Amino acid sequence: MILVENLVKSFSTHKVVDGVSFSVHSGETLGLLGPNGAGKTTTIRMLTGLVRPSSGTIRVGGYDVQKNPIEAKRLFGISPQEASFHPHLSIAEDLYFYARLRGLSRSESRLQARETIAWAKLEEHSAKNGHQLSGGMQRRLLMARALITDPPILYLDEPTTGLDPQSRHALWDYISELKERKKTLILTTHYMEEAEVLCDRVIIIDHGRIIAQGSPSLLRRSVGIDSVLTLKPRRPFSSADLLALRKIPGVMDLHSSNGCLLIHLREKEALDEIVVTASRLAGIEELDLKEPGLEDVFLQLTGRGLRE
Amino acid sequence: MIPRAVSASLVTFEREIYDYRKNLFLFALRNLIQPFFFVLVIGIGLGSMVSLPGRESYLSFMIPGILMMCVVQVCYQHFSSEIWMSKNHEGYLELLTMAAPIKPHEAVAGYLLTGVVVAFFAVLCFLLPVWLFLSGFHISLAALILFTIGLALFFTSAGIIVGVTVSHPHNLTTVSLFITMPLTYLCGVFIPTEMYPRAARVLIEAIPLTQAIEGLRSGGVPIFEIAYVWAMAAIAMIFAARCFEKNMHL
Repeated sequence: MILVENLVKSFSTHKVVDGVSFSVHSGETLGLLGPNGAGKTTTIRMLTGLVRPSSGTIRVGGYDVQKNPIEAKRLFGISPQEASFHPHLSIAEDLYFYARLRGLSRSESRLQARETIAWAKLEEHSAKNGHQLSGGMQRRLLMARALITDPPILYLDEPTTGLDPQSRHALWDYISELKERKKTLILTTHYMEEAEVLCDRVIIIDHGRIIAQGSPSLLRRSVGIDSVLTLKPRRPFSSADLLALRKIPGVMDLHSSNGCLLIHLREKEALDEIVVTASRLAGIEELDLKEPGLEDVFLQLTGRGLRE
Repeated sequence: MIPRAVSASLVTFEREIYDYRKNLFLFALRNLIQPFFFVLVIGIGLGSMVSLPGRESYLSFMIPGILMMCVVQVCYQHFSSEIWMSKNHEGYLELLTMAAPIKPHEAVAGYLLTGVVVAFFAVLCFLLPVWLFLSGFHISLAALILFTIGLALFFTSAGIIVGVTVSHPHNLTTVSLFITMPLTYLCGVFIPTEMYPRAARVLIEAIPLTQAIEGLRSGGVPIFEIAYVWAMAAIAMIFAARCFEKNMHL
């Protein structure tokens, strides 16, 4: 459905996207994961045709996005990162003209605008301007607008950024519904749990390059982490303490984060020795053992957290 | 069956006009306020003390200039600010370029068509009271229509160019001031261009607004002036379409 080959985008001498290639199958949900500035949004903007690639090709439904933008654009909708609404139009009017621009007749556009508002559960706000809505409502409206002509592909650029957990989970339900409708989705996010819950496959981007790709479970297995131990010490660990912990067999890596120590374990057998050693060296205030997540995969691959 | 490109331009036009219609009263007021003060203070007030050799009255001399300035104000101001806001503040223009199956020159065509319609609205807002209250005022309707279309296309193009190329709000205000202010006072709205030094006149007469004002004052249908304004409008439209495309595709 989507084929991206050797995509490069440079702004003056800085390569924002550097040789990215991937494909997305019909009905698949692909997550583009990476820290701020990794090149996710630039990739999405190239997919939509807004930004011209410095080199490389993008095909959507068989159409080259640069050479056949009109045909390609009919196949996708986009929910952009910024809440962009017409400054003077109400939600209903905004959706009507959006549908008109996408080729629907006047009566079809009116009908689709009504149905879209109902889908986003915004009936009582239809006379307001989009900027008067809450963050969660705006995100729902942006997603609804992207769906107004029911395109088979949707680009969701950080759809839950800035939302509270409740609104975020509510939006996940909407995205899950789109998955059930067999839409092809490309989702950019820097929330690991979001990618784990929603994506069939994940591409991790850092400094404009793909550093890993696969299903969330495959990625977790690929870095060889069995489990992640989070330790909150009573006193800060010294460099010598960290060296001693690192030498314990079964310890893959150590990372400090918010006063805690994250220890990636290759095998759980190392747990007893770590706890005894850490207690002796700095004391333990809190302790937590969990399965590794994509955040740990990213940490293992790049040596830094996603939101650092 | 309407071709897709025409339909895309017409939808842009439909949206812009819809927005304009929603605020019609405010736009009408905005169209009238500056010409009203020009007529009251300069035309009637100052005009009672001024006589121009070979002209009927100062007010009759001034009205063609004010009519054409209405076109400049409404087209340039409206489109430069609306497009600037959509591009830089609301991100709406970018969204349309990203998602809608519409080519940049089709969007520009929609804006230009809107420019022509709002220009006629502005001209009518001013002309109706003139016809009602100023007996004996004559103007060639054919020339008025042709000059209005030409100037609307030229200054809507200028508004589009400024709207998509300027990024800082202060620069938008400064550029707009440096465009509209010299046009108001140099292009022969208030004083005949013959009064300027020869070298300055060459520059001033190269501005389509000057040609339109002088053409309207001539009373007939001046072919050269109309052709000149339309030719400049054609160049401006091509330039606006290119600017729009370049600035909306990074």
